[in-house]
Amino acid sequence: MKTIFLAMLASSGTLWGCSQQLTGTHLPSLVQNALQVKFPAAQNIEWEKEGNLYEAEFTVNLVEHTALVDATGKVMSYKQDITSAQLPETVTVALKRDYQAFQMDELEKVEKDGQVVYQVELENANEEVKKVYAPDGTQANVIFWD
Amino acid sequence: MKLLNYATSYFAALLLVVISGWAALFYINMLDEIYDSIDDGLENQKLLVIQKAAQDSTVLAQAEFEEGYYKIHEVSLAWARGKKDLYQDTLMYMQNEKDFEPVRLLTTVFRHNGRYYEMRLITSMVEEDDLIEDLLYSLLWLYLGLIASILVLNNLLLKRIWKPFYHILRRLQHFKLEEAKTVPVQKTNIAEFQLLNQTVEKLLQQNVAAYQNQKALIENASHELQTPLAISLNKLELLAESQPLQEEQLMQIGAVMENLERLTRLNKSLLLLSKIENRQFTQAEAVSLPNLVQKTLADFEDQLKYKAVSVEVEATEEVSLQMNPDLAAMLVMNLLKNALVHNVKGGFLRIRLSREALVVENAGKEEPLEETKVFARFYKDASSQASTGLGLSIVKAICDLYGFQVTYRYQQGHTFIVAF
Amino acid sequence: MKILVIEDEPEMQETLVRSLQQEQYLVETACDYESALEKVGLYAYDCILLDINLPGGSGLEILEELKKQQKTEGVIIVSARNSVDDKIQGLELGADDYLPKPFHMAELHARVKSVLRRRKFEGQHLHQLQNVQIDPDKHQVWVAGQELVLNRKEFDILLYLVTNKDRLVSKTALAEHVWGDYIDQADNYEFIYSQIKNLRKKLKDHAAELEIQAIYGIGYKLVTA
Repeated sequence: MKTIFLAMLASSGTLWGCSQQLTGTHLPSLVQNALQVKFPAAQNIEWEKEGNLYEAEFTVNLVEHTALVDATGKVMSYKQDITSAQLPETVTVALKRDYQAFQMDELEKVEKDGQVVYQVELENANEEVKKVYAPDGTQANVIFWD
Repeated sequence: MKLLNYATSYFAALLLVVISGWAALFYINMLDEIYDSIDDGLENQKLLVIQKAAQDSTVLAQAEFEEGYYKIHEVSLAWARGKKDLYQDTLMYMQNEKDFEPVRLLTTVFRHNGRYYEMRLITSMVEEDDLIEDLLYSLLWLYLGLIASILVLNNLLLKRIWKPFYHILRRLQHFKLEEAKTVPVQKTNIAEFQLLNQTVEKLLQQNVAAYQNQKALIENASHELQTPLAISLNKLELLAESQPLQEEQLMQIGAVMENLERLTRLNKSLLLLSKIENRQFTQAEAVSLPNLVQKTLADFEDQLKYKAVSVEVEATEEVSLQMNPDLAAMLVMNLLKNALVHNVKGGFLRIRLSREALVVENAGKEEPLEETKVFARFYKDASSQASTGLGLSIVKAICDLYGFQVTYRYQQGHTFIVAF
Repeated sequence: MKILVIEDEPEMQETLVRSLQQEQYLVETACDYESALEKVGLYAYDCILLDINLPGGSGLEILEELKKQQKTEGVIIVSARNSVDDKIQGLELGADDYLPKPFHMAELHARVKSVLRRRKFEGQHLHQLQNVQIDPDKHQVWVAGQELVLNRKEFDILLYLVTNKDRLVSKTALAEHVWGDYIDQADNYEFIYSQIKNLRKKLKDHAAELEIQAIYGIGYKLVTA
């Protein structure tokens, strides 16, 4: 009896889970399959529609990822949280050079069309800056992806 | 319907409703879980196939299910765009079962190397009707099991719990005021039954006491009347022979004496009734009824002759009853006297005696007596002033004492039947 | 003949005494247990009429005392309690008879005479009245030495009337004595009359010097012619 009761609770819980966010049944198969093929280990996927694109937030091995997929099932770009240790040496050097007085807040690795850039959020006492670096340590001319 | 079964029938009805409701919920939930699990499985397979297709393009050529569990064919982007994963129940011909069996079908589209494919994946499904059937049978057994358990519980536990109640019921059923026998109370820990016991006990005791008082009153009153009656009667006798009296005075004395004698008989009969009901005639022995009937008829011989009543006796078998000889004599005597006193000149008296019954039939007034009142005390018809109206009451009291059934019937003659 | 009446009810006692005295008995009385016991111990009687319920004790105890003293008095228990147990107990204790109240005087006299006859004459006593001789035990009657054949009922009537010679015997008393206690149908004693008629005729045929008179409204009386 108890297990049945729990099962009933669980089933009703999934019903309540509905929100403005997209769930599997509202998501085009092409989009869903594209992400899952690209990130087979993706977990806790949450979909949101951003204009014509679909944005998925998920984790892979507890690391937060974000991906943008278009309606035809093409993964446009994706990014993941990284630690300062994962930052290429060149970028680390460049950062120390350019923003000595700043502290690194958030580090992200972004891939788009086979090109890799690093997004860095820096802050000091009265300022916060967001910068994008290419792997060679130069600042890339790419819009910061929030 | 017995109390216990009454409760059980309610339980059964309630259980049916509860179990039916529960079964519906259980079924829906179970099915939900099953679909959930199957669909998860399908989704996993889908990913595996797509990943496999990425490495091995032959996978994409799997156009029919055949030995596999999926088929893929290329579609246009326009067709694929916006398609969502679709899970369906469908039927598929199964070789092993030689029949169409339900399967779960997932239809999805995916992109591979800039081309679009539709893929269908299947997995075998539980057969819903089988599931429902199994569930139904399980529930039926559960229901029957529960009812059986309740019945067993009722019969063991409730019966034990209600035992004092049934004991009281039996006591009351067999309680006879005249017997004044109090059956021992069944001990119980249940407050209500204790109260019931006490109340019943008190009620019975009060009734018995009241009844005993009344009986004692009748008996004592009858006893107390004997002496003054004796004195009055005897003084009148002395007066009657004291001196030469005129005929008119003797007539008056005679009338008073007759009434005193009637009073005496009434008193004796009341006392006798009282004693029968008080069960003061305890000693019993085998009494031969044919002999008793013959002897009583001999006692009444002169009166029968005087009234020219023709007597028929049919008593072929020996009937012996275990009873008090005085009461046996009283029973036969009162029955025959009743038949004689209310007979007409030249009437008949038929006596049939068998092991089953003593039947006394006599001529008399040609209309039936009131069946309900005929054995009541002091019931008598207006014409027989001298009778006490207690004779048949005595018959009834004796019959009651020995558990005989006495009935009255009117068919040509008045018939009294004492069934042993 | 000496008779002791043990009876606590004064009226009852007086009535009994008067009736017995009419029969020429010597009658003494006791009205409670103590005086009764005293009289029984001091004197000898031919017959004792004993009430069971007495102030100070039970009549049955007096019976026991009599038995202890090996007295040969004839005892008739006269009781208002018509109880089978009392009767059985009384007779077991040596009482000769048991007469429940109320009773007819004629019945009392018949019982007393019966007791006296049995006690005093060892049953060998024949009733002799004028030229009529009656043997109560053999149920035989002789008129002037010649046997008079009577049926059972006629004999019982004759003996009862002879026993109560010159006394008024009510129809009820006669009926109860001859036909039994249960002949209680007061308005219908005509059947007695037919027996009386036969008896009278037989007595007359044998020139018996006895006459049965009908006392209108009450009963009969046997007188010597």
